Amino acid sequence: MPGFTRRAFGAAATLALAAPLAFAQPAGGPIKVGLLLIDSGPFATYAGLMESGAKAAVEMLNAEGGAGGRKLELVIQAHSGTPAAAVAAATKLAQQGGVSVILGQTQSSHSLALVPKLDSLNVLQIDHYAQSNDLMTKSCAPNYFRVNTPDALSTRMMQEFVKGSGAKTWNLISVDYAAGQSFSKAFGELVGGLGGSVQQNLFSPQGTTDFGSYISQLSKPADALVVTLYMSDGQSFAKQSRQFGLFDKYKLVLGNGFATDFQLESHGDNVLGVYNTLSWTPELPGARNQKYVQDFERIAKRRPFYTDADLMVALEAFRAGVVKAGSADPAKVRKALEGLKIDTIFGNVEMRAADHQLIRQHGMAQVVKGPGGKNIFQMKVLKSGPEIYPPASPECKASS
Amino acid sequence: MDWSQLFSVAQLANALALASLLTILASGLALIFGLRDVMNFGHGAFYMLGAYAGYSVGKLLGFWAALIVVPLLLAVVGAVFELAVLRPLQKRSHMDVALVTFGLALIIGPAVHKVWGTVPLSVEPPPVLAGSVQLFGTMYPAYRLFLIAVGFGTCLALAGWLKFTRSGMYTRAVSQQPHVARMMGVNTDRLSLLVVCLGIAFAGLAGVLAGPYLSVDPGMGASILISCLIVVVVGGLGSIGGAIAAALVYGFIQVIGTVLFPSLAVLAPYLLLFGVLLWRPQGFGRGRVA
Repeated sequence: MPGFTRRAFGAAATLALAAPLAFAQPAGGPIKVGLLLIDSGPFATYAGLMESGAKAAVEMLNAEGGAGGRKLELVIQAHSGTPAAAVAAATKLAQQGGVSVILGQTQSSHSLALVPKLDSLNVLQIDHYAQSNDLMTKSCAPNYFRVNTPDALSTRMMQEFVKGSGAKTWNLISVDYAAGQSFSKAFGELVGGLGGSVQQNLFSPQGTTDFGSYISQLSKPADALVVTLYMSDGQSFAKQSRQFGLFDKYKLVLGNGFATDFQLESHGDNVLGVYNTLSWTPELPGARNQKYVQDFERIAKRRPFYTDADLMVALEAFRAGVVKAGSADPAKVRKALEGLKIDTIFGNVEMRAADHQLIRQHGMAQVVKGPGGKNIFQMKVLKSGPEIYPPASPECKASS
Repeated sequence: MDWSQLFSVAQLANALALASLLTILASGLALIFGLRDVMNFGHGAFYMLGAYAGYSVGKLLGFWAALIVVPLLLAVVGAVFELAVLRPLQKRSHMDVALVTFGLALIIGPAVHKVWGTVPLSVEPPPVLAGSVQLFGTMYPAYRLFLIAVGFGTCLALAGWLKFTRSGMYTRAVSQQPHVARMMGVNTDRLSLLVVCLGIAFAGLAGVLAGPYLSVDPGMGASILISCLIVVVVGGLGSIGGAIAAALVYGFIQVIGTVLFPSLAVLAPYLLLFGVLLWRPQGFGRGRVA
């Protein structure tokens, strides 16, 4: 027994000393990238698409040599879709998965809950999903970066349409959570500033299946309708609106995350003619973009959507940060990313130092009948980042 | 707050459409509870299975065929459910059986996702019901009117079966006095098989009807199960008449909440449940399968 005790003690001491290193990333080993997915509720529907898009992007970047000679490795963590579950999943990714950066299906409420924890978890978040304006103003944080377009940008994109449409009265229906609330507020201000008015401003809880009572309220006359409903909510609304003939009552129907490209096939003709903000299509010019589309289709066996492109750019940004920092250490990558000009599938774009927002393009597209009878998006307006991004908010203290 | 909306024909019909779907589902749930004493937490999953099967059969044979074939298929599933799950567990506690049905839902859900995928599927109404019709001066979707007719027609048929047929009479007898009914020679096993098949077939019928009305998506089973349980509890556990009344109240409360108190609408069904349990804990009904 004495021998056992001494040996056991020695082994235990060695293990105890080695334990903290078990989750640290070895200098030459793969760099772990955390991917948060939602496995229940309306957003679970597209978790599979997000996963396949992430795997394809990682494979493409690894084929290009990875980040600073190190391969990228995806660590996937699914959760139930609440902000608390997102925080728990991100904590697991950081503490047990040993990831340097977190990407994935982070709704605005998730990112708003995650942002205060990123520093203590010693992890970066490069958001390509959440749209809340607060993430670039009062809730921005040093370890938080964003490559997708915030709501403020969608309203700026819509401004041209609002002006040009001649519509004076507007009805709005939005999902009743952070993104829907902030968009509806910003859009109301936009319309008010142009001398118009919002007549109906409805909010439906996430997961609403029967929109009949909302549609009946929206039947009160107005010139135009704006729909901010996502995923299966948007799909149910589109189908039921068609049965009610709702869209025929408006001169213009604008969608914000409503008639998305990844839902276009399942929407069928229910969203024909709807204008929607759209930040990317496979047809956009640029050799890198064309190569991305080709490689993506070969690997994922489907066409890429704008969400796939945003995820790819998040990884391209992370890679650029790692290369410049010469390390995957979150603090060093954070510093390297600030103000960095990055070659991406969107072209050469800047990660603004002041608020950690990627200054990238955004546009408006209309759902039209394509040559083969299939519905497609036709880009109507595409603006470059510097044309449309507002100046960084003084409220944001992200820059180190 | 727009009070005029409350009195519109469209909103009345919206409440009835939701109530119809819930009525069909809740009747099945109440039937199984009434006879078998089992709270079937798998009912939402059977409904989802019906909707997805309706999508596939509809694509192959058309909506009208799906409306017949899918409930029959689900009745077969119901037979397996009764023989393989409920009957072997009939001497176990309520909690044990309820947990097994809950587990069944957890199995059916991912199995459905595996077969049909997780992307919502679009089911359009048949051409004859695709458009809108004039309803007292308001254009209203024809499919929703059809749903209302089928929903309440099904309930009438169920009530007729319970009241005027021998098997219906046995069902009422077993649900109220199972031991006495057995002593009087009623074959309760055969009756249970019939009732469970019927209950699950109702879930399948509701699933097919929900396709063109709502959307066919992976979350549809879980979300409707909660509404359905509220309807069954408010209606009085096991009471068919109570479930119909509760579904109507549920539909109207949901619509009123959406129109008048949109931010509280999501809480309305729970407030209804809370209120009824305080005021009349036994629910609206007058007893099991009544």
